[in-house]
Amino acid sequence: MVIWRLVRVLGLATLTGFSAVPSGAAEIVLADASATWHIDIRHHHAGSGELYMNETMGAGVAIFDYDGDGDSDVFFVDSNVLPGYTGPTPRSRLLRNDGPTRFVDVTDASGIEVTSYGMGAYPADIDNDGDFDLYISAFGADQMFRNNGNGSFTDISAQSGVDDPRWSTAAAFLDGDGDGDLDLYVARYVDFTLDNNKPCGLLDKGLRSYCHPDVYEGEVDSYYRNRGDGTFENASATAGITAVSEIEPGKGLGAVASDLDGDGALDVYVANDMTVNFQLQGKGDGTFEDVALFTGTAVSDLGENEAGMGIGIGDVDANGHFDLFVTHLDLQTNALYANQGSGIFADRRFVSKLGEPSLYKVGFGTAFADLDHDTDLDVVVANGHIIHNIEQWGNGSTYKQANQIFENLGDGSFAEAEAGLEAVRSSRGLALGDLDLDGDLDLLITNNDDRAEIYENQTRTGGWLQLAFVHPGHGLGYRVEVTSADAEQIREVVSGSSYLSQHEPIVHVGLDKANKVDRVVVRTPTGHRFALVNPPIDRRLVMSTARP
Amino acid sequence: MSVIRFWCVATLLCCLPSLLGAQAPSLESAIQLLESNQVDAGVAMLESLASQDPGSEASRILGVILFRNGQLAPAYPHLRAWTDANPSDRGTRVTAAAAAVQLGRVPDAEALLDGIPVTSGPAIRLLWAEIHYARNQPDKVLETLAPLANGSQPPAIDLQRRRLTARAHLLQGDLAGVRATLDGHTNGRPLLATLLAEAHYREGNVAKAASTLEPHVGAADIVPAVVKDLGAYLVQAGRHQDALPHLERAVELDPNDAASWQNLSRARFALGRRDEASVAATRARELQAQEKQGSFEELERLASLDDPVDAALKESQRLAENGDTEAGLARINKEIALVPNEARLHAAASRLLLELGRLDQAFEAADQTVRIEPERGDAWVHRGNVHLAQGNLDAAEADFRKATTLAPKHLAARNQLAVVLAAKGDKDGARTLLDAILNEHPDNQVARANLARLDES
Repeated sequence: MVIWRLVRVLGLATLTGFSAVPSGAAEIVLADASATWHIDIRHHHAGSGELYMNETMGAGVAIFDYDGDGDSDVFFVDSNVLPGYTGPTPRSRLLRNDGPTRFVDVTDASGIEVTSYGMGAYPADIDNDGDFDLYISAFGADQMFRNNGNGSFTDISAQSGVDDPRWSTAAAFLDGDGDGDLDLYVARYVDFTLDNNKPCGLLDKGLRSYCHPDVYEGEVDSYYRNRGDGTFENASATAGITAVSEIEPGKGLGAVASDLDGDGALDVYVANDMTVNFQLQGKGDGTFEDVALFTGTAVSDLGENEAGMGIGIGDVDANGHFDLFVTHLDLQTNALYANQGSGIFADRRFVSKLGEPSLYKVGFGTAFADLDHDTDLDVVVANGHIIHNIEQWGNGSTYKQANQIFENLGDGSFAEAEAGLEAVRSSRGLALGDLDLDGDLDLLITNNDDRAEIYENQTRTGGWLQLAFVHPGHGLGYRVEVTSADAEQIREVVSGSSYLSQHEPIVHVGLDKANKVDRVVVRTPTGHRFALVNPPIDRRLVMSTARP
Repeated sequence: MSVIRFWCVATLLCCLPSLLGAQAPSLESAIQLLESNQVDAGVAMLESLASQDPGSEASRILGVILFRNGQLAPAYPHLRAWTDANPSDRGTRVTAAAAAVQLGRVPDAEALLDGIPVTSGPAIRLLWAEIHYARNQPDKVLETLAPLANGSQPPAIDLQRRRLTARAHLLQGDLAGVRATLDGHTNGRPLLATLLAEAHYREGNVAKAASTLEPHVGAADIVPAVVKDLGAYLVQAGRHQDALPHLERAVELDPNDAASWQNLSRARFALGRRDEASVAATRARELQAQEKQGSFEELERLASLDDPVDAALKESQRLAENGDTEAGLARINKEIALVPNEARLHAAASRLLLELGRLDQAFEAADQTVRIEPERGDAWVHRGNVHLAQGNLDAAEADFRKATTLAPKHLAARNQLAVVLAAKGDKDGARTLLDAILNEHPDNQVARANLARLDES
């Protein structure tokens, strides 16, 4: 029997006297916190005019508690020097959360040196020792850093077996075979290298631009089985991942692990750029079958390939099933695939009013999140074009684009909210987490070759509850049902999603006017269940089993 | 298409009196054949006359006849030949402009309409609206068409006015504008129904989108989008059983439509017909894998609007690079049919034919390049390359020498000339050429490789 215990309750001290504020139609308010939180991070694409394709894809950000002190830290991915580049040396950075609103750069002490051209950051406990290790997807060999448990990391890229030199982008950890450790899915993009860089764009008009992904071939994704000791074997063929690419490999930019069909086994969804998306139905034994073309998540509502970038996941219509939101290129519109619960998804991009406002945007990072604690999930989208000189193409598009927040109106539709996302840059990564431990979700946005944005959520809202898991596996893949007076909410501790980024791996629910939670039921991917009855609210509950 | 027919009928009627009074006996014979319903023979005779004398009356009549039959691509060069020779013939210029718009040759259409005021008539407004639409300028479309909304217009004009207005509103995202334009006006007009249905769908009303199209299913042969879109909407609405016959009809009408195969797989899967769903899904993926554009398609279309030849060359190059040289050649030939005197196209055709090993045809294309642009070194290099491939070393040498005479610094000409000289045993001559190239361009890899081969031989 697995014994769960509550190891920590956060929020009691800091939030004494905090009471639930009836939200009604609370206005979402975000405020730039870069200066006050001491976060001054800039991404470098390290280009020199050669227009290498990787320069325009940006990089991600991850929120996770690397030092186990209860608050989440931040890791920003940066690139690396490309031929001809003469600017400041790019460096991925780890920022430690030293109490509310103060972040300190601890990259040197951490020992994390990203030597590849970094793309995404994915934390997970690969060796089941209770702390977060860190996987870096890259243009070039991927890297794995083992957490030493004392605030430092060791580069174990070679021995971990995941240092594939092909261009990787998104990744997701999941216990795909139910053996209690976390396996790894890695989405690959295209076979572009610095040596096969092709001239693209409107060359006859003197407008050289970054290439369309169709100029290059897609790459087969990877599935790595954890041997149980934090090293991995490439199980792509036996898992059925190689077969998925038989007709055509994908060009993955987004990936997430989630139990989409509710059968208890984790599935993987991959957003591909101008090739069909994959919905890999997990069998629970480490094998997968692509069912996207049947379920309706492979292509657009009208059956056409789209430029899949980022992924949002959550039960946006509160029907008990996880829905998908996929961001796309301009002139395509972002897609909301609403899970009908019968293995079928309906494309509700226009019904939801999420499609039309994205027509002239290029969407990347995204998230479903209850920003105003009214119990339903709102949508955040980070936007920015990939063609750096698109203004000169003369079609009205811009490279820098405003980011968007859509408030869930509770009737299946959304309305764009003026929430304070004022900066206009070419955004890529997006991660959400409660960085100041005040009960609501704050935002981190990365921008290509530009400074990152940090937004504190200042929405005056109703009650809330957060659940964080320590051991085993920090709860990645756990499904949580929260029942309160007015709502029944399901959430998941999600690995992956968004774009090259990792949201804080916790469960966060808004409670609106409810002054108590009746019950919390947690289901693990290995089939265990446990429940909390009448847990305290307006708190973060930290759960763990005994460590081995 | 109605605009096209409107103009072609008008133009043909206005030219008939002069046709009947034509003096040239062969032209008269052609007209007599047409009048006696021997259309094929009459057209063949006109083609012969037009090829002998481009820009003659035969070109005009042939262009109009082909245009009236919806054969826009073959019609266009004849109409252009006539209007180039007879710029004062406004009627035929408008006809040619209508063809140009439909063929995506927006700058040509604008040039053909130059000097013809938009106030000349409803059809001119429609043509300008088409041009603004092609240039992604919905505001101008609406501004141009606004006067036509007042008062009653002939059905053909009304149809096109509503179609373009609705499309402009769709481009703007003004879905209420689409409804205001089309509500109550789709009866017997399946094309308009597809636009109204799209507006309902984009407003989130899937059921209304489907019900808008359902009365028009019988018109699927004329407007296949009716069953394709209806099937897609019904799948979105979860009405998989209802969607099935429409999607099966859609893939029957267009077996290469990946989207309909995809939706068909979804409908079959939802109905428990998994094996059949797999067949449709596999077909969809195969087609989707073939649909690679290699470009930001819509963005590049807008950017290339002013140079359709360049757009054709790029598309051809992409197809060839993707391994489908025949398709690349077909794209070039399609453009040559529209613009027969564009040397870039013949040169590209020559290259592709050479790649395909069709040397005689490659020579014809290269020879055409030389005829069109005899003063350009490139043209001679293309023809020299074909001679070289055919083993005609003397002819190749002559062409490469001609190229170097026209363009003394032409790298390809000098490199190829060196290859020919080497093949003919004149190693010193070849070495002198290659050394000169490398002296000027030390990084020229072709010359370096040729020199290495020369040293080895």
